Amino acid sequence: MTTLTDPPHRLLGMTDAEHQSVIDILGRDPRPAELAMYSVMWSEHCSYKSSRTHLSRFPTEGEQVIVGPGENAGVVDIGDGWLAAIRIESHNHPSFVEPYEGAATGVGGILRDVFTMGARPIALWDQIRFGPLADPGNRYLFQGVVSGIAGYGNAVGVPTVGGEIEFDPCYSGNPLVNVMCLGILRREQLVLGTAGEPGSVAILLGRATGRDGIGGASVLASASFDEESGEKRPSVQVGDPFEEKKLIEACLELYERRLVVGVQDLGAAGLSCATSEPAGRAGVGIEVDLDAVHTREPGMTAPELLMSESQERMLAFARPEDVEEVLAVAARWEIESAVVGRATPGETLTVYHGGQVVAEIPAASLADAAPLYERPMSRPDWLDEVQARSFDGSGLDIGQTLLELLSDPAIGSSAWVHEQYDHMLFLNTVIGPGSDGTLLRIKGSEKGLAVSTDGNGRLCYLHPRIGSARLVYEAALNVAVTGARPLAVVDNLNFGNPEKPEVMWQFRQAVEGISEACEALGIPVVGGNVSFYNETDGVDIHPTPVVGLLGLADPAPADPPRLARATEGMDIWEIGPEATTGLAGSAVQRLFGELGGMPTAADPEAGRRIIELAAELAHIAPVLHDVSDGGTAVALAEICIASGMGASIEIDHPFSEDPHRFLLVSEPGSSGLPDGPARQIGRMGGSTIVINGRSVALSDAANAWRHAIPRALEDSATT
Amino acid sequence: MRVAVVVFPGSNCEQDVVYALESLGGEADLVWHRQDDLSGYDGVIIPGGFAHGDYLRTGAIAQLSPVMSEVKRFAEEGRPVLGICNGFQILCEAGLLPGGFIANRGLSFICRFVDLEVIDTETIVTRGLEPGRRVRIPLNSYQGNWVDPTGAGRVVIRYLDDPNGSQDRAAAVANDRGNVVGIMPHPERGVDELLGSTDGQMLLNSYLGSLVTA
Amino acid sequence: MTVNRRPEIADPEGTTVEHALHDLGYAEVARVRMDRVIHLEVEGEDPVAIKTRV
Repeated sequence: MTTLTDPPHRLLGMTDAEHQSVIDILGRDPRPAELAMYSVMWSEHCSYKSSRTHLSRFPTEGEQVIVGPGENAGVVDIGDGWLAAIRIESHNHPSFVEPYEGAATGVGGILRDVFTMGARPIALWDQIRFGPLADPGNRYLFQGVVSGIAGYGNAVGVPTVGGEIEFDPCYSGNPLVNVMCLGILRREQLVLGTAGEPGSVAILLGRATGRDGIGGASVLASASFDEESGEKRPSVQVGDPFEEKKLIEACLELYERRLVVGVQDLGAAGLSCATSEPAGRAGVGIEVDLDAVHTREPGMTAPELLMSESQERMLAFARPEDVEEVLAVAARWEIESAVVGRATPGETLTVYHGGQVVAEIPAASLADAAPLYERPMSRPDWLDEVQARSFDGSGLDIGQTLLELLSDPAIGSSAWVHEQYDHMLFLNTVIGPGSDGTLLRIKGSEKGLAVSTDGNGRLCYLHPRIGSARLVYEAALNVAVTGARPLAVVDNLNFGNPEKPEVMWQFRQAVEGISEACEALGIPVVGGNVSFYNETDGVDIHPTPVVGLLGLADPAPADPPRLARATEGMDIWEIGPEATTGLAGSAVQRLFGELGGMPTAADPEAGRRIIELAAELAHIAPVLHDVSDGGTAVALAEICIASGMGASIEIDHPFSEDPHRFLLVSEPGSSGLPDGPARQIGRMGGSTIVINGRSVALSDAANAWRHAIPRALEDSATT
Repeated sequence: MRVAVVVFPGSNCEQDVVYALESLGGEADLVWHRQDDLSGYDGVIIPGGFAHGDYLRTGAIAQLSPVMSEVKRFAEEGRPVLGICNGFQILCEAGLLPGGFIANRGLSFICRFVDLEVIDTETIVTRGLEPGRRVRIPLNSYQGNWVDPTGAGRVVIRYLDDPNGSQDRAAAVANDRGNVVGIMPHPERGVDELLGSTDGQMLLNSYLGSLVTA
Repeated sequence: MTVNRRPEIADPEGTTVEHALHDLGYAEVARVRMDRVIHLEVEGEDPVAIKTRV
């Protein structure tokens, strides 16, 4: 808790030790603008000070890796001169404060991370988590976030093609809004966040700078915290997708014409980051003239200009002879621009304002000298009891349970959400929202890019390492059923308060789990994001790592498997290891029991084999469907609903969520199954879904599934 | 026979329109909104997107662009002028088609396939088709709800159901002459079986065919 | 009833309209802000009471 008599560094969120580090680096007390820069760059969000030491565990190498973690987006080689750029980011806390703009600016931010690498963003995925919809507060957040993603994504002109939705009470005060973006580029157009050689000119492009995102503690401008002064209040960041669209087109033209040597987007820590990081990477110094920054507010102070998080801004570095043309390109695309600095020999970041030097610090120290914390970790003492809980789902009525699962807003149709997103723009979406994995084509080639994003807070709560590893296998299988082989991973790690040893333990375990799975599958982690402090009233969210996995299909199947392609008489196969009870952390447990038990661990050998098998079968099978939430029963029902046809199966554990399993539906005798763990479990036909002799009318199942979200939104509104 | 596909700041469907036209043997160029000379082109298409962010009113700022004087000339000369989605909105704001747009009745963006019925075959996108012909193409819009207090509008394609409250279930509207058409769903998104439908081809082929006869 | 954003909050719509006016030759327009006007028809006899309610 800070008070008005606290020294400035505490009001900016720095510890005394961090403040001392700054003094040690500079050899003197910092000036206000310098303190401002260190305070934002050394914040948890920008410096990853609590997580960096663990993130180094990730496997990041592979011959497909062109750019690994540390730049604005990961970039991988997809062959024939094409590269793909991917990034995932969170905007959790802003979305709780202002759901529409929080989500909207989250989309804006991740797009910039991708097109700053030279790539055209071609698709977005959102992973959103809220408390139960019975609570009006959660309904408000859910609707606001979806509107914000739609409003920004549609207007900026990048299709949102998939994602995931989860509801759990632990997210009630802490909604999670994660967004992943994919861009593609020709190899020659790759641009890094570098300031280039001394003499290269820094040009600020995009929206005018205002006080967006600056904390109220602007003590540096006045001695007292004046509550009456509206100007000093924190300002909500408002996104402008129109400006972003123009910025994308302008930047892509700059790249195509090789007019820039480096580009960095302005996100958290705004100009402080965009000037210092490129300089640090290039090993040069940089001079910045704040008077040149185009602003929309009069009288902004140096700290404000350096900390502002105004949206839709990029910093381009160009050779002096190219500057005029860069400004002309900006003008043609109707975006504002300003020459705000230049790279210099040496290593110093010098900032001028009003003709005076207001900051003079080692440029690289903002990023490189950030504190590194090895926070204590300890396994929660409540975990044994939780893992020992048993849940017996054997007494459940299969038919009734199936209908309840299908009516659940996290399992039923996501159309209410995804029909608000333009998912068809660019004519690349071969398999879109509502499927296991997304499949995008790359016109002019035979390639397909597949993506799946997967998280499971409940599973990771029960066993963070097992749960997190399983996410990687799940995502890999989701892309394999579209015909793609896993290529690279990005991760968004959403956790509670890192100052608690239990949370740090969960975090480390999650990193281990993801790392082990990636190593087993031979795929590198090329980037990621950490969101800590998702905690309200001392209660943390479940550990919720989200894995974003990119796969490559080359060639992509000419007629990929789809849930709607099942027809009368086709055989239904379950492929993968035989299921066990597998209900720990399951959807059925969520509806009918208490969270507990020990999740089934992933089996690397089986996992690899099943993924490979699915990727091969995707070229010949009419229907492939990953088994996940709700087990085989739900997977089957989804096929039946999409195909408009009933089915009958016999299976030991209809709701088990054990990993490494998928369903295959194909003409009798044509499954094309090589030797493998496979069991025919039934056949398509009729107008009822029959599981172990228990029936559900197809029309009832379809209704339950179709209206899951609308009913959840409306039911609550009438109570 | 070349088609000018106009690009405003914020337009985003222009590449898709060019792709679709070229897949049908057409020839098209992207033309920036500041260009005020379309001589050399035989037809114009204004594609979908969010010109000027839809700020002020959808299409309201776009209709003031230099290129629009040429679009109006094309309209007057009987040349084919097609507005798709945002393009339809811009043509209304420019007074080249009656009516205007408000938010979808359900107050959210709609992105899904819709079933349409051809009503009137005397237009640049429906010539050669028979009345009653079914067309299934995607609808992707937030302000797709067409309103026409004058009642002067000539509805040429209708939604079979009512996705957005559009007056008369109008999905496409034409001027009296039939050479200026606005269509809210996207024909260019229906040219690949792989992506769900090739019904858009018949509308775009009709448009390309009308270039020859103009 | 007019609802406006606090002056320091960004107004993309206002900025876009401002640029468009400049394009049309109205260089003298310094700034545009877009606000919302809400018309409420309220039943009742006493204007003071109604205003208080609103």
